[in-house]
Amino acid sequence: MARELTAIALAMACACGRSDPPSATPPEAKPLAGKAFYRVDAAPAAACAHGAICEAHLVLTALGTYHVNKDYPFKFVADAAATPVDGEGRFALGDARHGTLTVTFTPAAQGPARLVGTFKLSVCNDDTCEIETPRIELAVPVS
Amino acid sequence: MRITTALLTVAALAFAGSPSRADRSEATSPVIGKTAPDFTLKDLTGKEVKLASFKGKVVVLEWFNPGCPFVKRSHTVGSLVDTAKRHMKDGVVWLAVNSGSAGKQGADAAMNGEAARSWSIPNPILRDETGSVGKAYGATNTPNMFVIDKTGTVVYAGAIDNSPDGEGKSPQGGKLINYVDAALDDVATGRAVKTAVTRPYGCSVKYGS
Repeated sequence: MARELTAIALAMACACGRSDPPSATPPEAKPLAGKAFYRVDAAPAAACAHGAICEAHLVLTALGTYHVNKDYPFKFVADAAATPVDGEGRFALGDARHGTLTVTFTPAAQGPARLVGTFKLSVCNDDTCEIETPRIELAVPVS
Repeated sequence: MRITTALLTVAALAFAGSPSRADRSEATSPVIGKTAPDFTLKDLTGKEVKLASFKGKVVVLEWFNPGCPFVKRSHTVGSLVDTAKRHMKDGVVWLAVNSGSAGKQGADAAMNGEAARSWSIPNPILRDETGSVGKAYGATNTPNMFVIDKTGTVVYAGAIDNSPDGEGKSPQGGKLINYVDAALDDVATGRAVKTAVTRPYGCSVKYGS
């Protein structure tokens, strides 16, 4: 298992038909992925019904002196064997330190839907930019 | 009428100050269409390279930093793989310029040499530790590309391509465009360069001040 692979997160951000911007998981919670200069959290879970279009929100936070690289094409590249997702996600910049990648998918059945893939992201500070590709693995409760 | 004007003014100010507007700023370059600023810099072996000595040839300048992940990806999987080699075969002069100040990321000569070897870079890497050449060209990023035609005029300034991941895997508009390939093709066929300026992406140039 890759070093950056996170444990399955049972509390996953999933909002069916939701349009409000998500808020990040409290910083004391274990991130889905991260290093000294960034972390990825799931926004709080919301209802997700099978057959409906659901949204999962991955919240990127740049840490320390770093900021989100607003020019980078952030994307979620899903594993072929996992739950299919629509495209590669939509990234919305919040403030300089935060951005949210929204991934949509349509679960076919009840029970946990596994979202597994790579979050391609970039953060910078005055001295350097970093491109990171953490593995994300999530289990989304589906009603 | 006054209320309408006031509301429009407030809306315009709010829009102008939003990050999304800043993101859509048009690409500019202080040297496009102008005579390329001359320079003399040393390569990694200490040999002096003078731009003016290539008068009558097409020259490509590539701002370079081996510590920048965008440069690394461009040279290992993206649009800079073998690009210099291809064009040098056709007589194009290709020069990489590192404007990183001493002690900054990617400025170390040994690191540049190692990158040249491991990435099979066929062209000289010039050291511009004062940053004066980079600033003269308005180089802001690595990679940041400039194409100079046979008359010594800068005819392209900007990104290597339209895929800001450096890997060529996220092209804006869906189709990968190598802007330097396109500019050199235009120059070779005597056409005006269709896309003369683009917004470079990647790391900031690590100037000393």
